[in-house]
Amino acid sequence: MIELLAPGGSLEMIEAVFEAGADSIYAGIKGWSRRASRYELNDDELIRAAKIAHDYNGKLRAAINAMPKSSEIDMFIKKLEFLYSAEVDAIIMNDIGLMRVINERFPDLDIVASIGCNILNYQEAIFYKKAGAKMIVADCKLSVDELKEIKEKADIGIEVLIHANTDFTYLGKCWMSSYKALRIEDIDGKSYFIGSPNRGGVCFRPCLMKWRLSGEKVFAEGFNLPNSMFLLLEEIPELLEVVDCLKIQGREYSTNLIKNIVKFYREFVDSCVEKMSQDQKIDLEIWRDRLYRLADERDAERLRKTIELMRAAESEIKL
Amino acid sequence: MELVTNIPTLEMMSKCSIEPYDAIYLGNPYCWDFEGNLMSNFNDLEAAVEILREMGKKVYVSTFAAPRNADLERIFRLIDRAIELNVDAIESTNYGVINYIKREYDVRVHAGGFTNIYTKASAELLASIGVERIMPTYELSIEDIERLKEVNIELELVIHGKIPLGISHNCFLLQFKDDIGIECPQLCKQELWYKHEDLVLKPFGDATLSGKDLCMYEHMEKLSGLNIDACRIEAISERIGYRERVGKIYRKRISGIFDRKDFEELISLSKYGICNGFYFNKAGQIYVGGV
Repeated sequence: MIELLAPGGSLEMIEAVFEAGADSIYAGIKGWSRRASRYELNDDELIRAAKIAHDYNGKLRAAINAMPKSSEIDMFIKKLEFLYSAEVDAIIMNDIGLMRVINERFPDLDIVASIGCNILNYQEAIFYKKAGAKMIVADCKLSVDELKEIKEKADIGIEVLIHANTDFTYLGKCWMSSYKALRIEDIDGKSYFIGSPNRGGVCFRPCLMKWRLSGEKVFAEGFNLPNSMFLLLEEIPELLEVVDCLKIQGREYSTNLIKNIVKFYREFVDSCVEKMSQDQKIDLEIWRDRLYRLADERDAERLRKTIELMRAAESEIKL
Repeated sequence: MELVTNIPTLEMMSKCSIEPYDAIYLGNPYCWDFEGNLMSNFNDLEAAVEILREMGKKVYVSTFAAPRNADLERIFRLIDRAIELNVDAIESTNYGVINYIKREYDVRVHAGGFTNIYTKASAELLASIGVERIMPTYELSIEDIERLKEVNIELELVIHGKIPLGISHNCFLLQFKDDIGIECPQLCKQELWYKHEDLVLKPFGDATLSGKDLCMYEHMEKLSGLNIDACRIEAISERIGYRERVGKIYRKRISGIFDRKDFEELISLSKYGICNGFYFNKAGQIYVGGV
């Protein structure tokens, strides 16, 4: 049975997405995930999130996928001890060395290799499995055929993003944002890298600035480096045969929007499963209109956030 | 301390430009189709290895930096050929490829800058499978790198040149080939830049490089204190003359000679100025004054 994984940017969102039909949720650990802290949960909230998830017979994955400093490894392990005691069902992490350490210390805690690991081929999936990953989050640019080959050759769980964005670069292998602007804050001995998504801070989205291509003259101007949101639809019936988990990204969006996206996918996935079990054709048209409306709402929210982030980057540079 | 650089093609291998270096990484890891790429042209690779051997230089071979399933067989053929040529090490930035090489071959492996080594835990993991050398992620500061030295593994750092800032699944520059009037594979041999106000990036194959040259000339003592094993001039996208001049300047600098004129020459060689990358916990494009 495929798992529908939804974002938990707040306790309110967690309740809402379970009501809308999510099987499980993921939530960021304050200071330790790849999102701004206002979309992460503190320890008390995390304990409550685990209880909500389990009350719904669902699961909670804790995202602790910012790359720590070597000097923070002890803090990282203490945080893992807390997560283990809080009965989270799995953790999402990024650093392959720490993955091995955590797997040895907490062998019954499932590890998901984060999207930031940027796992691109079956040999890499084999190595992450060896380090302790039970599941990998596939890069958004991988085709279904590539996912099939990874599944066959690495025999590992695969999670794909069905609502997310494809970046100009491979996610996890980009520091254009921190090249442009970076501020480091120290809070209780933990460093916060504002401007470095790999290290847990916001991305200032340099891709979405207006660029020009120059050489002997200006050849093009006013373009973005590709960075677009997607909501999958046509691909899902085929993905249902290959992957283990469909993930909806969006901790930073409004609860109402995310609830509606989860509800849409719950209904769509259930319908696909039913039709496929009866060898019936899936009529995508009726679903497409609904999805377009959701995409419009999402785009409006994203535009506002992008403008905020670009302004934030400018103010960092002026500091 | 070893001084190393990278050379993409046989055509870019003048003896003068190689002379200042102890070792050379051969091949352009950011695009298979780069004209004359030593990763793809085995006859040229053999000739390049011969030249380096005659000059008494160590030979390292780079592999494609972002391999998908379909790239793996091609990479394994390259490794087979490189081992037949008895090269000194293979560089990879992909954990899967690194693990495969260590499992299947008896050859030194260097994990490059895109391997995303942020912590000593990852360095320890790589050391445990036999990897001999790592280049930490470009985002690390000197204090972060210091902790990696606690692991028994060689460390290589970039000391000069355009650092990679990201890698993609394709070459975005191809979208502009009609505007520019030049086709691949000549396209990325042009001087082309993405610009937004004062921010400049250099497209190069599937990678995007910094527009500014990272320059640690004024700060070499700080890096020497780390007791690193190799320092790299990133020159994959540069002309022969750049590799030669920068190499000569740093050869002198490593021997302890600081010459203000040399520093000024480095600045003059950098079209859009210099920066320190992330070594000082600042945004990568900032330069922190030195000595």
